[in-house]
Amino acid sequence: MSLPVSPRRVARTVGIAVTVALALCLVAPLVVTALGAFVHADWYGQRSEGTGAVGTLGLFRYVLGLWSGALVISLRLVGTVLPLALLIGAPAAFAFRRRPFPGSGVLETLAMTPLAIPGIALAVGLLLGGGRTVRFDLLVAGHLAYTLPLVLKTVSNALEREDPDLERSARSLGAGPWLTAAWVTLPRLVPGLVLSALLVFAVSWGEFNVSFLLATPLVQTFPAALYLTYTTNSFPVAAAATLVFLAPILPAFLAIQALGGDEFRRGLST
Amino acid sequence: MKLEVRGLSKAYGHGRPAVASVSHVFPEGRISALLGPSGAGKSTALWMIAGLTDPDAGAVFLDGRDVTNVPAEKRDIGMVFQSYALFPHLTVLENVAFGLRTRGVGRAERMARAREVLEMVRMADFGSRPVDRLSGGEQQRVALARALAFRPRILLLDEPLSALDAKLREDLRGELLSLLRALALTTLYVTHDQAEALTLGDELVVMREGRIEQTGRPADVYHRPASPFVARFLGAANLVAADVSARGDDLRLPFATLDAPGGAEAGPCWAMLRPEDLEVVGPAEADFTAALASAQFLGPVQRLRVFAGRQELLLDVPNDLAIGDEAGVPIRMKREKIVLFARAEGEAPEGPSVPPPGAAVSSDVFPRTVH
Repeated sequence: MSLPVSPRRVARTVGIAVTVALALCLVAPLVVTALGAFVHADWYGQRSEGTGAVGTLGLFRYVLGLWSGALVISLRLVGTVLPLALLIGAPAAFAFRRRPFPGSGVLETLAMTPLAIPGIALAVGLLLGGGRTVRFDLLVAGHLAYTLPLVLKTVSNALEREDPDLERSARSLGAGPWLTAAWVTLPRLVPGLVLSALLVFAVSWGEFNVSFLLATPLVQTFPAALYLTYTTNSFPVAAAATLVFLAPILPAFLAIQALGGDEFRRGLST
Repeated sequence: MKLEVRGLSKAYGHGRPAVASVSHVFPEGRISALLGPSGAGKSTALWMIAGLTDPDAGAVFLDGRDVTNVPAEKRDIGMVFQSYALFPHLTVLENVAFGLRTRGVGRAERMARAREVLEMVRMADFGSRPVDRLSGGEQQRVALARALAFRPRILLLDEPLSALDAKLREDLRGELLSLLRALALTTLYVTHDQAEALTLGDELVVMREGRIEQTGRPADVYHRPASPFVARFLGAANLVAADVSARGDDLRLPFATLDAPGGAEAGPCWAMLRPEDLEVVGPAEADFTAALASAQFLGPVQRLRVFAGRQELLLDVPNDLAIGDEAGVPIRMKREKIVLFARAEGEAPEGPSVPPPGAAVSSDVFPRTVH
């Protein structure tokens, strides 16, 4: 006897339904937000400072003007944290994987711990320990604590996937440690490095906890400013600010998809 | 280029040493096949010669010069890895030119030279391909070309054919042999495949548990193995627990008594006979008669498994020989082929070792140990 509906078919239908529901949960707010930023504020029946702005891009002009300081801080922060995280994280991952030394295991574990520490605790720790350090530098330290583990993990994984004979064969072909790193290890790590850079970018750009707690009226990151917008401005203004926030992240992730070709996965030729 | 190792030793962790005081002079311009089961220390020895592993003790000499402390990149030793280790981000041609690039050879010249070497391994048309689009055999040739392109002083090959299937392995073996012969480079060829070692090696270096068990020309090692281990590892061998009489003139096997070979020491011994050194003869010439247990058709020969009393024996006979099962098989031993090994009193007799003909022997006969 056969069932009226095959179990496989049920499973498939449920699967599709769950996927669609998830996608809706993720995409629907984006759509609403995007619409909110462009429609006339009156349609929402909400008025606040800024909603009087004219034209389709009026809200954006208002937001950019209002939070230009925070935007600059966030960009500077990402611009500082990103190279630092890669310059410290990638060689450290290489050392941990390829040239382990006594105590390197402990060091690696320590470097990973910030991921398990709540942002508030980390921020308070930085404030207490930071003393009179410049606030921007404290922000850099906080963001590094969260982004370094990502670089370490991503680059470690990339190194572990490599055939260790590649580096050995480079040496047997006459390449010293530096040439081997430059001509073999590094080109092969490019996908891993790009991935870590995007992760660092996304985390640093969007980091809220540490940024919010360390914020001063003068040194404030864009996510902290976003929060203020959400609490004080009307929805259309907040929507415009959110789109400004998302603007650099979406292209970054689209770029990952575009880079996913063969050439990219093999590593870049030198 | 002459290669010599003296007292080369290496231990990993606390286990038994991977290589224990290996000394040997590798003949110049010849192919030495390093043969042994997995874990015998062949690859470790090779890596120490290449400079990729630091020895705990001992030294490596190239043309009399101690290079033990010279880093791998300065040794001018070409190496083919078991995994081939081709650079996936470079094309075939760029891979082959790599060793010239590290030596500062200009782009035009190194590409031209790389092309020549690719020609030599019959891969000239593949220069612009990415290496991950190559078959296993093609990758093997590119790896060889890459190791040769910078004109190394010595060539090391670490199980270069083990990743390929049997048919391809046999084809490439012949090709590799003629190429290596033409190059007349001092070559070390690590393998656990006895057939490969026998065909490719001018010299055989049999290793076991980190030590050299025997060296010599392949035919000599095959016919006059220095130990039961070598006898069993190199082809099939019948090892019979025997005794040499007190006066040293009789060799007493459980199923026959023969005149002992000259110089035989009195006391217990192992008598070793290859399956092809036993022949089926007429009843009048037979040394003994055995009961047939099975006959296996191997192509060029058929391999009989017989019992002489309780002693199991293997023998290879012509594949068209008809064996009747009426009154047992009359068998004669080729006396001059019998090799005797010392045997401890009471050491238990064992059955013959039966490696699949022409195939790798290691994992079936010897426990696989970790490198």
